[in-house]
Amino acid sequence: MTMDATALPSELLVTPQPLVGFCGLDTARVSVHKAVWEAFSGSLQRKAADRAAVQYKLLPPNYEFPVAKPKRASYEWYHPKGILKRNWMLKHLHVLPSVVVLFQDMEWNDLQWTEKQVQCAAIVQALKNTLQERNTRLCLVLLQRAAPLPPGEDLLAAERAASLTNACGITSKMLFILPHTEHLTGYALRLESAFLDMAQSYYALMSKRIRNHRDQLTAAHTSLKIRHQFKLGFVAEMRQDFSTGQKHYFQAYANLDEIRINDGNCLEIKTLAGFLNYKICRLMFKLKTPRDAINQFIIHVEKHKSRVGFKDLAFEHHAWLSTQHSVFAELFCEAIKNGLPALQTQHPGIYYHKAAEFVMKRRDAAMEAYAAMQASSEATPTPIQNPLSLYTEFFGIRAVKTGDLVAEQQANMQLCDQERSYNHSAAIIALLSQAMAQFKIYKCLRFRKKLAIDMAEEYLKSGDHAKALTLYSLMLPDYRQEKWTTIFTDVLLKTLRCALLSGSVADYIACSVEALSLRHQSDQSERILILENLWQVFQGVPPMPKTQLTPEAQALWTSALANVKSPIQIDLDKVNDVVEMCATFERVQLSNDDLLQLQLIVRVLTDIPLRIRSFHVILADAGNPQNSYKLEALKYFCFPTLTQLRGQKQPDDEQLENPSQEPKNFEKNMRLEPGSYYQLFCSTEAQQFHENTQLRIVRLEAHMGTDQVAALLTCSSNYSRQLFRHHTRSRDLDDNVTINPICYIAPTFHLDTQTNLGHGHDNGLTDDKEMVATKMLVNEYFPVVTTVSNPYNVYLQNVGVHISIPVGLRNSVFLTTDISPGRQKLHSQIQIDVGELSAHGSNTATFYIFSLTEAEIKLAQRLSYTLDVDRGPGGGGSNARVSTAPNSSESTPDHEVKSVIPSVAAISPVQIEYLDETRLRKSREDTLTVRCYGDFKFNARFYTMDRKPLNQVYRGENFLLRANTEVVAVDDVEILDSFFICDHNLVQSNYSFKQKKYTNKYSAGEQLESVIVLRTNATLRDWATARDLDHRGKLEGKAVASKFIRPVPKPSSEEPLAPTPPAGISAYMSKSLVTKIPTTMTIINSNSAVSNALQVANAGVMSNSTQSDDVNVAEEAINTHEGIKTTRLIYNKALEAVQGTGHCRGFIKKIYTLEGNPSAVPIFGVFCIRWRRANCKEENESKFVIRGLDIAEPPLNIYCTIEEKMFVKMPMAFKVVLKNPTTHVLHLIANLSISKTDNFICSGHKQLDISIMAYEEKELVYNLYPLQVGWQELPVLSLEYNTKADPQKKDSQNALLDELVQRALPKRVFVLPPLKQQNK
Amino acid sequence: MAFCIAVIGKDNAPLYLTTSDMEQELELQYHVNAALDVVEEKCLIGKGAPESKELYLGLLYSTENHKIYGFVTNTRVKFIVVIDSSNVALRENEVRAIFRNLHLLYTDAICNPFYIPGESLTSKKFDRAVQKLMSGTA
Repeated sequence: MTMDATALPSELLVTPQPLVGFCGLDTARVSVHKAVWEAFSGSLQRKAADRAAVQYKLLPPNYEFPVAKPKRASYEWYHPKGILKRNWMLKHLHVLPSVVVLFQDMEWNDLQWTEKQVQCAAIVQALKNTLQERNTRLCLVLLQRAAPLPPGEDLLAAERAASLTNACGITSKMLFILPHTEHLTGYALRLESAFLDMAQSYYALMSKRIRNHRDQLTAAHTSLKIRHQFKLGFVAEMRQDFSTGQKHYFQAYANLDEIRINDGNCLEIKTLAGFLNYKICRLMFKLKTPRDAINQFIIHVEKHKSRVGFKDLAFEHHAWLSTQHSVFAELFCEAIKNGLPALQTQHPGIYYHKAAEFVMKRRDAAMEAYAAMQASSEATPTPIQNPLSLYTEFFGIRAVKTGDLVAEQQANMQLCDQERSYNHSAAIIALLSQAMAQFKIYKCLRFRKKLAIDMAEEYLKSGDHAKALTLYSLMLPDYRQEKWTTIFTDVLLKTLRCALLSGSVADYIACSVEALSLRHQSDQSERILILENLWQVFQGVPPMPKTQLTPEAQALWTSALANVKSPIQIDLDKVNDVVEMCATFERVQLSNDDLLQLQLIVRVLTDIPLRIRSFHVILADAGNPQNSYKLEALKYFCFPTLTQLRGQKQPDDEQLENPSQEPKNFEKNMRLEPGSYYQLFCSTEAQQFHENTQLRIVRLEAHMGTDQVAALLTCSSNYSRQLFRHHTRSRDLDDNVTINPICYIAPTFHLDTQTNLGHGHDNGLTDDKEMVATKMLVNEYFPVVTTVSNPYNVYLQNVGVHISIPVGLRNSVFLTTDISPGRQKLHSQIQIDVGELSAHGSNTATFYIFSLTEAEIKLAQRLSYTLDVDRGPGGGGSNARVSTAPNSSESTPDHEVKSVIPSVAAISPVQIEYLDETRLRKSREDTLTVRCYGDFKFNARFYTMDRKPLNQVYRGENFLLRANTEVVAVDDVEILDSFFICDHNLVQSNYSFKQKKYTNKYSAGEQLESVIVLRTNATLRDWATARDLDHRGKLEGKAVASKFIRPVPKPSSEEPLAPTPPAGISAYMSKSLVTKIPTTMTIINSNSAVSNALQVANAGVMSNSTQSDDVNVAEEAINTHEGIKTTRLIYNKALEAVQGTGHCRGFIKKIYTLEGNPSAVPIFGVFCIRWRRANCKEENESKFVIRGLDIAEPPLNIYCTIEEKMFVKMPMAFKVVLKNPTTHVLHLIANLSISKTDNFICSGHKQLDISIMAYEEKELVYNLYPLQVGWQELPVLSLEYNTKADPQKKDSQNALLDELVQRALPKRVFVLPPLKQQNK
Repeated sequence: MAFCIAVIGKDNAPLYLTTSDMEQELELQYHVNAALDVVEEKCLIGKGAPESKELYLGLLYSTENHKIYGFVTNTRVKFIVVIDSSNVALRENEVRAIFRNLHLLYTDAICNPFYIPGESLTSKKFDRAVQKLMSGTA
């Protein structure tokens, strides 16, 4: 029967367990009985605990046990028809128990004990009668409610137990008590072990009986020996003696070899061999000898794989082999589950795979047998028979008479008919699935792929093309990647066939394109055929001729072609060697108004020409990858070899060779010849892309097919170099063609600027401008004229020029656009708004640079404007033509801006800022360079009246300020005026205000000199400020009158106060009124004397004093925004002072200087020079701060007046005024030593004792009569303290008096010749 | 003697593959391709033990009709030889000798200065020598 060959019986697959039968339990109606049954056979309890291997069966009442057969006295003439009966294992596993347990509800103190005992005895007797001739053990269990008492205490129980055993005819060992209390499970466990012991003895006895038969067997009873060994092994398993069981099974397996095999008994022997092999391997795995199991199985298969049996039933043999392998695989899996480690080369998947292979052979053999049967059955019709008609009671034996050829043939035909209804593909696929799972576990991925391909073939044969297509498609990439060409070709062609049969258009097209490659081993004629079929699909026609395609497939294709989604994407990066494409930008950088050009190099790598509908290049913005653009190739060149393509790079050679060659127009579905290089050109306006954009080639596309059905061959733009590329003669493609994958769109700046300074980067223009332009000077408001022009046909708005000063010069360089006379608004940054500039429009802007230092000034200039652009919705760029690609925006600019004048590439980068969708702001940074030159070189020194350098000045003393100015300007300047504005605490003599005449022009190197006589009325401690003047507001009305009033000096501990302060002040006021008139006269006279002294100094006598290092050199004046106001204030005050009071005085406010830290010494004043350029009207003013000296309190003020001119023999007055600035009386001795010289006749006191009261003056008058002409030494006046009158004075203080005299009195005079009037 | 001899590159791409029976070429290629699983497993084990210098990998796996042996060079080029299972007389030493000879032939072939590493072995001399090796007359 087919069942014997295709499956093992279920009773063989389970582990044999002892069978124990229960009777007397009514589990349906009595709850106690149910609880007892659950205690023994409950599945939950058995799983929880480690229960013994035993099988319980609830026997119904009147259960009929199988009747034992009579024993044979001798086996001499017994020849069984088979080896193993079908029902033997079933009988001992499920029918005939080893122990029968009878349960009875009997209490020792039961009132009806006698009746129950009689009934129990009857039941026991009935069981004995039923089990007659059997060795089944019998036992009696009494169900009682109470626990048994200890032995010996319950006399009633002992008495009745003995009575019961006698009545039933059993021994005391066969009687048990089972109290059904809360500890029922524990009692059940103890009973179970007792039952097992009885079962073990039963099976041991059974083995003994079987073994006794062996002694009676002869050599001719081989089948009986096998049967007996099998039974012994089975019983040993029942007894849990697996080692003994294995031995018996192995012995039975060995005995099988002794039987002579023929076609008649081949099936039976293989069936039994399979049974025994299963048992042996199972026990070997159980006994932890897996290697033996594997070896046993290998030997088993090797021994029987050539025993086919009937030729017509070869499929049965293959089915048997398949079953052997699959069953062994399951055993292997179970062993692994129990902890057996498996190897990569030895795991269940291998056996599942072989099982699947044998099912394939089974199918082939079945088809052959069926074909043979069909040929031979034409004469004899076959009646349909019942499959059970072949059933016999022995395994592997059919109900066919031996030797009856007709009956055998009919049986074979019946088996063939049954085989046809079997689904072989389903079995193969199931086994392959299991094998794949195992191969995956053990990391045999390539094995697994092979199995997947086998499974796909099974799906293909069974007609499930969709699943086959899926599996094949999944396997293609791996073989393609590892370049197994033969395997890949085989799988690809099968995939193509599946796509054809299942009507999958996309897969068919993709496989067809890939099948065109030369890497696949096929002929050119086959590729041509594939290409023709492909084009049929492109045209919407099923690919094969109608005669070769089934109507179902045609219907599939017709409906599929109607619903196809075109185009079908094919990734050339994965597909091998069909078309080679490479793209490059012609130029790396473009302006916004240039033409963007790309080259696309295409080569067909197969040996048949391809028709390509169109080529496209997809670009993307490197900064914004979401936006992409598609360009189509419109023109092309064709080169047969790579060498010619390389030569095309040199245009000169090309022009010489082919002057008239032009690119051809690319037509739809153009034919590309294999092996040739096609150079295609894509071009578009760069304006449609954003400015300041890096374009990158993303993908290349080749469109193939028709409008209805098409294929899109795409590949990435990355050109992969091959290893060892220098070994080939022509080398690689990128060695012949320059590949630029990125192109930069440089922005266009629509503004040009021209200034009178010239641009720093334009050398020629700068040189030309520098020759013409005027040089800038310090303290000059230098004009800068900027012309902003728009040379493009673009309307610009919000045009602005932003000028800023470098940070390092912020404190000394300023900008202004203020053209008012005051020019008070100075800035570090200015913004000039030009406004709007139309096409070719221009505008000018003027600003001024004001610098206080000589430096090369680099102004940062930023030009900016806004522009209207048409970018369309979405903010993306636009294509040159409308495109249907979903990832590229579609919009066309309404107006294309074309430039008339090509712009010069800007050195600095242009910044672009998008304000909104339609407005764009551009800005560019430039640098303006201007050199600032010095105007004047100024230095000033202080001198005493005798023309000596001055380090310290005494209050009330006259001293000289000598200001030297040198013109260092590179251009001629006109000096309009120069004046000194002194501090309020200083007094200038009237001589200083004498207006000087200046020449019209001064050149570089010329020098000017001014001498100013100054006097201070306060020491540093008494230095008055503007706040002090405001504090004495009520004295403002007396400004003129009180200009010589000095504040009362602060009291000092060293100087005691005057005895009568009110009287002193009053006396002082009277003195000041008296001295007003002589003061005016004295000033006039002193001017003449000072003038004479200066003339002598100019002669060179005082040249040494200019080298003194102790003189403070004035610093340059610095102005800020506040400084301008201060300058203006000073300026106005100076003019007002000159006109109003005749004195140029005022408070010097905070003038900003380059030096950060203010000095403790006050500022004496500001020297101003008003000047302008020659032939210009713009007036400028240079200011120099004059720093002060230390002012000390003198012990005595000495003033000297002398006539301006002295003539021979004309008397003149020589007056010396002594002023006591202290608060106490001075006692002096004045000596006029005239005896040294004979040049003057002197009249007056030669020696005079002088006493000067506090704050009083004393005047010494001498009349001098010059006797000779020329420089004459004046008489020497010496002062010393009168120590007699004032003992406090010391001789050391006389030195100070001498110094004061030396500083105040002149020493020499120039005597003029006599006047003519005297002669008359 | 041998059904198939294959030279596999370090990226598991076949550089050379020849079979004695053309009808079985596809099946043999599948077997050789599947044998790379075992080769990779053995090489992976070898990485853990850098002291292992054995190039001969032994029997990779066997099928009903074939036994497949492997050999790997220091540059990770693999040699696969498929032998008939029924040839019980063939010993381990003879398989080693086949691989040793194959290694010599391979080194001679790649010494050709015009051979580009990574490409297929198309040397006629190499092919003839391998054919002799496969027929057992080498």
